[in-house]
Amino acid sequence: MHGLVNRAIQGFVEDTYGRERWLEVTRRVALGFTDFDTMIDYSTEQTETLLDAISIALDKPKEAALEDIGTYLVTHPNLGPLRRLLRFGGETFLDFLLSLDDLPGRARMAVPDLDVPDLQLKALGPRRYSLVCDSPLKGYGYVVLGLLRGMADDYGALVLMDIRSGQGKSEVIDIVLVDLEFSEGRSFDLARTEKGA
Amino acid sequence: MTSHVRRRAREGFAGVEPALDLICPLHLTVGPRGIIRHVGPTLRRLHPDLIWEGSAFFDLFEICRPNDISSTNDLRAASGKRLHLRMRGMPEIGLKGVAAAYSDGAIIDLSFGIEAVNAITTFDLTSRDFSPTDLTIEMLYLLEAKTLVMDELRTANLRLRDDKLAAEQKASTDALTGLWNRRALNTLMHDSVAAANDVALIYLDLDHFKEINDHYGHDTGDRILQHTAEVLVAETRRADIVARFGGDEFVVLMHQPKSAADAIKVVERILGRLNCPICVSGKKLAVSGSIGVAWSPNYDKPTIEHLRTYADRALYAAKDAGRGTYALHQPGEIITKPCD
Repeated sequence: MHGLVNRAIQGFVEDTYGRERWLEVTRRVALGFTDFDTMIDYSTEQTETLLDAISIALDKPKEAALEDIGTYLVTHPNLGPLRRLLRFGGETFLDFLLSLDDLPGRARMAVPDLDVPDLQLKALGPRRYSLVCDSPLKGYGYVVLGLLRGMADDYGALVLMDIRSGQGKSEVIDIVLVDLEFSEGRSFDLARTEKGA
Repeated sequence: MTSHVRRRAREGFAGVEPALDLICPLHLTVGPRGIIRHVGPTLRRLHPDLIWEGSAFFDLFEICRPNDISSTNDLRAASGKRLHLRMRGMPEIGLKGVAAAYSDGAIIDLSFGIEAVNAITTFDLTSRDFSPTDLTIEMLYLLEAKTLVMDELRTANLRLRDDKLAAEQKASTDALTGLWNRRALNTLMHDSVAAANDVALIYLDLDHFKEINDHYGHDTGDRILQHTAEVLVAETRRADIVARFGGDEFVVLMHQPKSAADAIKVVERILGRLNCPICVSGKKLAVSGSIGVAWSPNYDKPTIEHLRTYADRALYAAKDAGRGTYALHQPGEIITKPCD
C-alpha cells in the first residue's frame, strides 16, 4: 500500500481524534514507529491491521470508520487541495460521477506508483447509477461511499446512496440523484484563487 | 466580387459558426478585408463589452510571430502555421493560434497555451468555457497535483533531514553530560588541527573520583560528572570543543586563545570552580581535578597525536604533583603548578 494511503489514514485519526489517540493506535498494532512516510510502500496486511486497530480504538465498526475516512479526505481543511483536485472532475455532481472512470488515470498522472483501484459507473436509469468498487483492500467501497457523500455536499447535490456486496471482494454503491442543485455547495475556481483551499 | 458571391461567402461562414462555437470556443472568423464576422463564446469573455463583429481584426490583435502578417490574405497564406499573438492592451496574456483559409476569409482558432492559469484567473473562466477535448483543464489539474506532491516530498525530505541530524547528534553526544563524546572528539580534533590554527589541548581528570563513586554511589558520581561538564562549558567559549572522553576524563580543545597565559587562566578558573563544594543529595561535596595542557605554538607543526601525547604527559605530571594541580607541557620540560 502506498505510503500516501497510510499517511491519509494517520491524518484522519490525528485530525479528528487527536495525536494521543493516534499514538494509542500505533501502540495497539506495535508499529515500532509513530509516523507513516508518504513516499514509502507498506504491506497491504499492515494497512489492514492498522484499520482493525482504528476500528477498536474508535469503538466503531470498521465499515463506519472507512466511510468516515472517505468523508474526511474531501471535507477536512487540511486536505483542501485533494478536494480541489476532485472538483476538476466536472461542474456538477453528475459530471463528477461520470469522471470517476478517469480517477485512476488522474491519480497516476500525479503519483505514478499510486494504485487507485478501478471504479466502474453503470447507468441504471434516469438519475440512477451503480458504482462497482473493486480493490484488494476489503472495505474500499466504504471509503468511496464516504468520499461521495462529502463531494455531494461540496457540489450541493442531494443524493441517496447505499452500499452492498458485489462479486468477489467488490462492493457496489447504489446512487440515486434526487436534486443536483439542492443547495449552494462550495465554490470552485479552476485557477487557485480561493482562500485556504 | 459580385454581391451574389459575397452573400454566398457570408452564408458559408454562418453555416459553420454554431458548430465552431461548440468545438472551438476560442475561435473567430474574419472576412476578406480583415473585419471580424464572428467570435466564439469564450474568446468573447476576454472583452465582454467590445462589439467584436465589425471590428478590424488587426486593430484588436497583434501577431508577434510570424511578423509579416497584416491582412486576411496573409492569414490565409499562413494557414496551418503556428501563430503567436496578443490582444492589444493585454500584453500579459500570450495566445497561440492557427488560421485556416475558409470561403473568402479565414477562421482563426486560439489557445492560451501555457498561460492558461493566468488567463483563467484574469477572465474568471470555468471548465465550461473550454471544449471537452481541450487539455487545458487536465494541465491545470496536473499543475496542482504536482505542486501538492512536491510539497509532500519536501515535507518528507525535511523530516528525513531532521531525523538524520538527530541521529548524528545522538551518535556524537555523551548521554550523561550532553558534551561531545570520544567518537565525535576524534573527528573534531583532526578538523581543528588540520585547520592549522593555534590550539590549547586541555586534559582534565577528576581526583579520587572512583572513591566518591564507591562511597556515595553512582547517582552522586553522575551528578558530579554533570557538574564538571557545566563548569567546563561555562568557563570556555562557544567555539571551543568540550568533550567527555570516558569515565571521569574530560577534554577541552580551545580554539585560538590569545596566548598560553590566556589558556592557563581558563584552566585556573576551571580548577577553582571545581574546588568549590556543591550540594549533592543533601551532602556538600568538593571535587578537585588535575589538568594537563599542551599549547600548539610551542611545537613545530604538531599533529593532533603529538598534542595528545604532550597533554597526557602533562596530566600525569600534574597528578604526581598532587590534587588540584595543573601542568603545561613544553619541549624539554613540564611546568606544574598547584591551583590557588
